[in-house]
Amino acid sequence: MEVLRLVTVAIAGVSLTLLVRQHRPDLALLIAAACALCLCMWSMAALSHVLNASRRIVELSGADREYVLIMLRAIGISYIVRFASDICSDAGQSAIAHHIDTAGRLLILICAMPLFYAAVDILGALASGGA
Amino acid sequence: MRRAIAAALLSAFLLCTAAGAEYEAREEDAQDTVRAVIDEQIELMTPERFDEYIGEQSSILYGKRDSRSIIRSIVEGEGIGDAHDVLQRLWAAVQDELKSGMRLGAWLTAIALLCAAAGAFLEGGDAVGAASRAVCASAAVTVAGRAFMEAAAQGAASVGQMCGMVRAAVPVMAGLLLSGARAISATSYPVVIMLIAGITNEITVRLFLPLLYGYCALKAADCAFCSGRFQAVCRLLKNAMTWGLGLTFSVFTGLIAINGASLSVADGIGVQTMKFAVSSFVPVVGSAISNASQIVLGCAGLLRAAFGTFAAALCIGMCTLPAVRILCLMLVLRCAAAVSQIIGGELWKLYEGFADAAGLLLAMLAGTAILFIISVSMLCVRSV
Repeated sequence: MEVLRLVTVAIAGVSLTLLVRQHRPDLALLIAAACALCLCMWSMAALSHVLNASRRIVELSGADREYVLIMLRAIGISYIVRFASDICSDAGQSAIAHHIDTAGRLLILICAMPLFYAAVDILGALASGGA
Repeated sequence: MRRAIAAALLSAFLLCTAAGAEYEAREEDAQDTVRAVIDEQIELMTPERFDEYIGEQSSILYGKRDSRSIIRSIVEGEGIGDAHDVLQRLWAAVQDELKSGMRLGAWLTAIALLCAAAGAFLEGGDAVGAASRAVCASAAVTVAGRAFMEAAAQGAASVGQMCGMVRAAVPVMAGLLLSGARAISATSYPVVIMLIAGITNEITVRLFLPLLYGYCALKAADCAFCSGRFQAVCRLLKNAMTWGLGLTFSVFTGLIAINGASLSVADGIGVQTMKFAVSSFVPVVGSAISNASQIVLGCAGLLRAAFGTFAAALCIGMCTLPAVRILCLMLVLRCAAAVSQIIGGELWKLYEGFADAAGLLLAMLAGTAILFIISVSMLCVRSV
C-alpha cells in the first residue's frame, strides 16, 4: 500500500507539473518541488527505519558513538544536498546545482575529518609495520 | 621327616620375609636415588629462566605457578594441571573472545548497513554519494584495522616469545642430553636449532609480518578508496607470503628431521661404547658403575621427557589465546563480509582482505608453534 501511495503521488505530481507548465511555468516548478518534498519526507521515514536498525546494532556492539554520528550526518547531508541539487537542475539552474554539490561534499569532508584522520592513522600504522 | 619339612618351610618363610624386606629396602633406596638424581638435575636446569614465559597468556590456562614446581609435578606424574580446570579456563577465554568478536561483527555490519543506505539513496556516479560512502569506508577501515592490529600485535608478541623460549630451552635440552650421554646431539643439535630458529624468527618478524601489514594497508586503501587499483599488488603480496611461509617451514622441518635422525644413530653408538668401556675396563666395580649409569641415564631420559612436556605445554599456553583471538577475528570478518555482500556495497571486499590477513597471521603463529614443538620433540623421543 505504501508503494502505491508513493507511486500515485509521484505520477500525480508529474502530470500536474506537465499540465501547469504550459500556462504557468513558475507554478510548475513549485508543484514539482512540493512533490519532491513529499517523496523526500517519505524517503526520510524509510531511511529512519534503516538508521534505527543500524543504531540498535551499534548499541549492541558498544561501538564508538562519535563514528556513528559522523556517518549519519554524512548520509543526511548528502541526501539533503542531492534533493536541493535536483530541484535546481529541474529549474535549469545547473551552476547552482553544481555549487550545492560542491558545498555538500565540503560539508561532508569537514564533519568526517576525525574519521578520515583515524583511518589515515590506521593505514599509516599498518603501512609502517604495525608501529 | 616331619621335622625336616617343618624346618625347611620355616627356613623358606624366614628367607622370603628377609628377601621381601631387603627388596622393599632396595626399592626405597632406588626411589631415593632416583629422586635425588632428578632433584639435582632439575637444579642444574635453573628452571627460573622459564618463569618469564609463564606470562599472562600461559597463566590463564595453567594458573600462576613457577617452572620448577611444574617440571617436578610432571616428573612425579601429576601432569601440568587439572585438565578440567584448564579446559574451563580455555572455554572462558574463548567465550570472552567470541563476545567481543560478536560485538565487532555487529559494528562492522552496522557500518555496512549505513554504507548500503548511503549507496541506495544516491546514484553510483554521484560525487556527494561517493563522499558519504568514503566516510563509511573510513569507519570500516578504522574499526576493522584497529581490531586486526590488536590481534596482530598479540600474535607477533607470541611468535617472539616462542622463539625466545626456543633459545632458552635449547641449552637446557643440551645439558639434559649431555647428562644422558648424548654428547654428539648435545654439541651439534643446539647449534643447528639455534641457527634455524633464529633465522625463522628473523624471517617471520622482519619479513613476513611487515609484508602482512603492508598487504593489509594496501588492501584497505584499495577497497575503501581506490576501487581495485592495487588488486594485483595485493595478490602478489599474498602469494609471496603464502609461498615464503611454506618454504621456510618446510626447510626448517626437513633440516631438523635430517639432523635428528643422523645424530640419533651416532648417539646410540656412543652410549653403547660408554657402557661397554665402563663395565669391561673398570676393575671390580665396573659393572656397578655401569648399572648406576643406567639410573642416571634413565633419570635424564625421564627429565628430558618431562621438560619436553613442560616446554610444549608452555608453547601451547603462549600461542593458544592469541590463536583463539585471531581465529575469532577471522571468523567474524568472514561473517561480516558475507552479510555485507548480501546488504550491498563494496565493504565486503575490505572485510575479506582483513580476514585473509588474519588467516596468514594464524598460519605464521601455528607454524612457529609447530616448529617449536617439533624441535623439542625431536630431542625427547630418543630413548636412552
